[in-house]
This record gives sequence, structure tokens and C-alpha cells, in this order.
Amino acid sequence: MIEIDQVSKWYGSTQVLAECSTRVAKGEVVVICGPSGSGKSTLIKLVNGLESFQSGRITVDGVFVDAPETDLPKLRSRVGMVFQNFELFPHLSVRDNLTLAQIKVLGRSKKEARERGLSLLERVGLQAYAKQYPSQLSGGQQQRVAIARALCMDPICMLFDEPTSALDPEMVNEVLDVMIELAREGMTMMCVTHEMGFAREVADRVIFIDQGVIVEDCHRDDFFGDVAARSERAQQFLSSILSH
Amino acid sequence: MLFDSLLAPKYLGWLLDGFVVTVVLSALTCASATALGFVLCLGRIARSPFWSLPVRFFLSLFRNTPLLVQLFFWYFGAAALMPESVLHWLNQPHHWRLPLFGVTWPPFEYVAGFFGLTLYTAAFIAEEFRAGVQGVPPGQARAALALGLRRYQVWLSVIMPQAVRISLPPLLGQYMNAVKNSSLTMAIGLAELSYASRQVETETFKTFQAFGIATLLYIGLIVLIELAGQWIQHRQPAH
Repeated sequence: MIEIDQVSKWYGSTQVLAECSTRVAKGEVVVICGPSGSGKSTLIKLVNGLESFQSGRITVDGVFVDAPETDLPKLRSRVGMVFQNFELFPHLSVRDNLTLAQIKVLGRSKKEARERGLSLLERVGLQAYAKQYPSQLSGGQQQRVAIARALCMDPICMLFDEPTSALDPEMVNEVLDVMIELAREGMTMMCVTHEMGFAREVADRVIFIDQGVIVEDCHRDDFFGDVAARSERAQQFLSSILSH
Repeated sequence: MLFDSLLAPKYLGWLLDGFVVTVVLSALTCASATALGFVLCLGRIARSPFWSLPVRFFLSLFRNTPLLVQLFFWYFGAAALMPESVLHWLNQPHHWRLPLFGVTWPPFEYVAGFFGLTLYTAAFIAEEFRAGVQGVPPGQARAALALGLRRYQVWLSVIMPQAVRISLPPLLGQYMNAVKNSSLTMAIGLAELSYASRQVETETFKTFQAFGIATLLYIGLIVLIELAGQWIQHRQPAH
């Protein structure tokens, strides 16, 4: 589904990703972790072309992300993305947040889009909030709406960029529950997150990035179970985030 | 004694005429300066220096020189540059009869005053719009792009509505400035409220009444804009 092959990226003269390669099969859930500034968020933004890269190649469902002939907006409409800061559109009601891209990008009728939006809102447990504005919702609720907004487009895969990092601790689980359910339903997912509980529960694989290099890319049982076989850097990282 | 100190109806009429000119001039200025300011803002934030450089030059020129000088330039300076025939046409009154109403081409001081005020105000409005656009967090555009919206759709549906909301309060401030600045056009002989009050004062020597009434009328107009702004903002959803 997603193939990342020898991808490198520089900001000016600073290399942020160095020959990263990995692939995500259909239905697979991959968790990407690593210290801040390691390039994990950058990597995930390359997949739907929100950031450019200088060498290597990425394909999503067989489409080259950086090819000039690729219709990037069309590709993006098939790849759902959830951001750290939710990025709901504050000037639109929850309902209109859900229908905007369905109508403008997929060409659905207003009625159709609203029905789809409402059914997904129900799925994340927020059907009562359709007429509210994002600012009237808690962070956890906003993030659930953001997930519903991405799902409205019937994506072939979902990208999560630290979806719980901006949340108060008591709201983390309501978002993770939605993500876990999604993973169990067979959605292809790439998740940048530090929620190791989530990784243990639903991830098929865990990728560990440090300083722009993919240091570990292995099954979650190996990542969490066979710690001794992990690189020193990964062990350090694991012990620092799992020690509490 | 009291009646002595009031203005005769004739002079009140002068002031009212001036007030109407001020209202119409300000309204036309605000409307066209908003449209022009929007276009200038697009040029200013364009990535290509082909657009942004000339606009930057225009903006700093018009923002950093006194309005009075600009009005003099348009009225006297630009007139000197125009061919005799064009100037002659502009100085004559013209009237067109349209199916529903007639249109009268105003004397040149009105044209120059409107033109000068509009360019000056548009330069400020462009910068208010730009501040509004920059006030929209960059993550909003990313989220919209990630949903598959095309760049123009991102602009129309996500960035513009938020930018307009952010720039509304300073925009209203610029409208108020436009009303106040319209008084400077009296220097090129445009018979607006300040010009009228000056005339009334000269004829009647009732300085306090003439300028007092003009002041009240200006305040009334500003209050109206203020109220309109509050009404619009009240209608917006909470953020």
C-alpha cells in the first residue's frame, strides 16, 4: 500500500531524513516513534506530499507521490491525515467541517455528505455536536471530529501525526479508543505516537527513528519483548518513556 | 438670545449637503478601497517578486506620504500631466440618462478626491488583509490540502473566511479613518462637510455652531460604523 524507498530529505544543508525505506501493507498498522526532532513527523508528511523530499521514491497504492504528473490533491483525498493540533476549521460548524471536502473534492451532494458525516460522527460518539463549533468542544472531542473528518473521504489509509500529544491526559484514551477500533477494522495506518500502550495493543510493526535514520523496523513483539536485541539507542528511548 | 445663536435653516442646509457628500464619498471610497486593497494584498503575498515587489513599492509610497500631499498631487500634479482635452472633459459637468436614473459625472475635484482617498485607504486595507491572512495558522492550509482540496479551494474555503474575520476590526478602523480623512479633500475644494462648515463659519461668524454641528455629524457617522461592526461580530460564532 505505502512504499518508502531510500528517501532522503534536507532542509537547506541539514539532512533530516537519511535513506529511509519501509513499506506498509494493506491493513497493516505501523507505529513510528523516536525522540523529538528525529524526523518521524517529517517522514509521515512525505507520504501525502505535504513535504517534499530530494531523493528516493514513495508510492501510495502504486502512485508516485513526487512524480510531476501525479494529481496530488486527488491522491491526498484518498489518504486520511490527523494532526497533532486537530486543525479543525474554526469558522465552520462540526457538520460543515465534515462535509467541506466531501462536497468540494468528491463532488458529493450536500445531503449525501451530511449523512456520511453524521454516521461517522456517531461512530466517534459525537452525533450530538454536529451544530457546535470546534471551539465549543474539548481537545479530545476535536480530535475525534478530526478523525471522523478524515474518514468521511473513505480513505485507503490513514496517517496520524502525534494525534494525542496536544491532549490533556484524561482525553488521550477517548482518541486512542477510536484509533484502536479503526485498526481492528483493518484500516491501514501509519501512526507517529509515543503511546506505547497503543503500539502494544494494535501495532503490527514498530519503527524507531533517530536523527533521520530508521534504526528499528520490526514486529511489535520483537520491539517490546526482545529488548536485548534492540539497538542501544532504541533501548535508551524505550527505558526513558516506559520507566514511569 | 438663544435664537440669535442658532444657525439659520439655510446654513443648516449647507451643512446637510456637505454631510451627504461626506457620506457618499466615504462609502464609495471604502467600497472601492476594500476591493483594491484585496487585490493588492494578493499581490503583496504572492511568491513571485514580479507581483510582490511593485505592490510593496506602491504600499510604502502611499502609506508613508501625507494624504494631503497625495490629494494635491492628484488634483494639481496629475492634472498638469494630462492632455488638455482630457482635462477639459473632466472639468466639465456631464450627464447621462440611463433607463432608470441619470448619472452625473462630477467636477474634477470630486474625481481627484475620490481617487486619492481610495488609493491611500486601499494601501492600508491591503496591509490589514495581509495581517489577517498571516493570522491564520499554517496548519489550517495543511489540513485542507491533506483533505484533497486544491490550492484555490484552500484559499476560498479555509484561509479567506478566517482572514476576513481576523481583519474585520482593523478594517472597520480603516473605514473610520476614511471618513475622517475625507475632510482633507476640502483642501482641493471638494464641498464636503468640513468645507461646508468652514463656509458657514465664514458667512455667519458662528464658529462654535458651525464646527460643533460638523463634529456631531462626524461622530454620528463613526458611531454607525462602530455599531455595524459590533453587530457583525455579534453574529459570528464564538471562538
